[in-house]
Amino acid sequence: MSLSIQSEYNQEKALITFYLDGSLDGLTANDLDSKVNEEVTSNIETLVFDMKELEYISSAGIRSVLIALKKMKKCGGRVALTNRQPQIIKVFEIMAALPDLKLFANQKELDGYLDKIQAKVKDQ
Amino acid sequence: MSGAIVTASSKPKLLVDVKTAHQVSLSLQPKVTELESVFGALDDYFTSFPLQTIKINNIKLICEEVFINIASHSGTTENITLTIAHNEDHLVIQFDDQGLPFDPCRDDEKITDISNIDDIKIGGLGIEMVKKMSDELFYQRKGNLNHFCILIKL
Repeated sequence: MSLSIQSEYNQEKALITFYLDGSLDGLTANDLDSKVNEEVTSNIETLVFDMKELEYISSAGIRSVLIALKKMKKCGGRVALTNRQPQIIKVFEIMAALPDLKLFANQKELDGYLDKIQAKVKDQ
Repeated sequence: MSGAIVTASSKPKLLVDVKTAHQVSLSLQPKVTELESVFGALDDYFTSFPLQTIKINNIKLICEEVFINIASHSGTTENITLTIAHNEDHLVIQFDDQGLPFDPCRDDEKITDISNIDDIKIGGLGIEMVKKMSDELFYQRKGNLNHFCILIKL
């Protein structure tokens, strides 16, 4: 079971997206941790895990997501998950309480949420 | 040899007897990297026993969580045996290891709150997942061996 990670940085939105393809398990979770440590810098406000091509996630993968959340929270940022497949949703549901993770069915929902945040910031 | 198939004469006895000829046992070194062998064995097993993808996914999850726990935390340096067996109603997964006594069925091992992520214990999340994804769990300590058996209704 392997994992491929592509990243995309959106400077305007201070956002980085990690596209996960394959399996986030005990063998591959460290790869994601390394990628997050290397590429998520203090100027990033939103970290998105796009899980459209993610077929499998175990507790090791969920820990990686939560560790990324901890890193982002320290700098006042947020983590969002998008496009989760049904079996991935099921695993997160089994873990019940998911603190402070933003969950979106797809990119459109995420964009709508980020636009509202930006509009709020502009009004202040 | 990693992921070696256990011979018929030395196959472990299951805590739950499903009375079946469909039983495969695998001997695994207590290393996280052996997870590849676990997944490979499961893929082979389900080639001749097709199941819904989502059920196979759950079974892979259960096997990963238990194996990683044993390999990482039991302290064993001896091989771990994984056995998979099924009949028309049930699938059984059993792990046998020579690590420290550990009963995953005990409630005091439970993680009750993951909202404070500073308190997540390594392995605790995994055991919670196994409990929630299985129908019944059985544990026995015999001599220096842990026997942990997971029953899944088909």
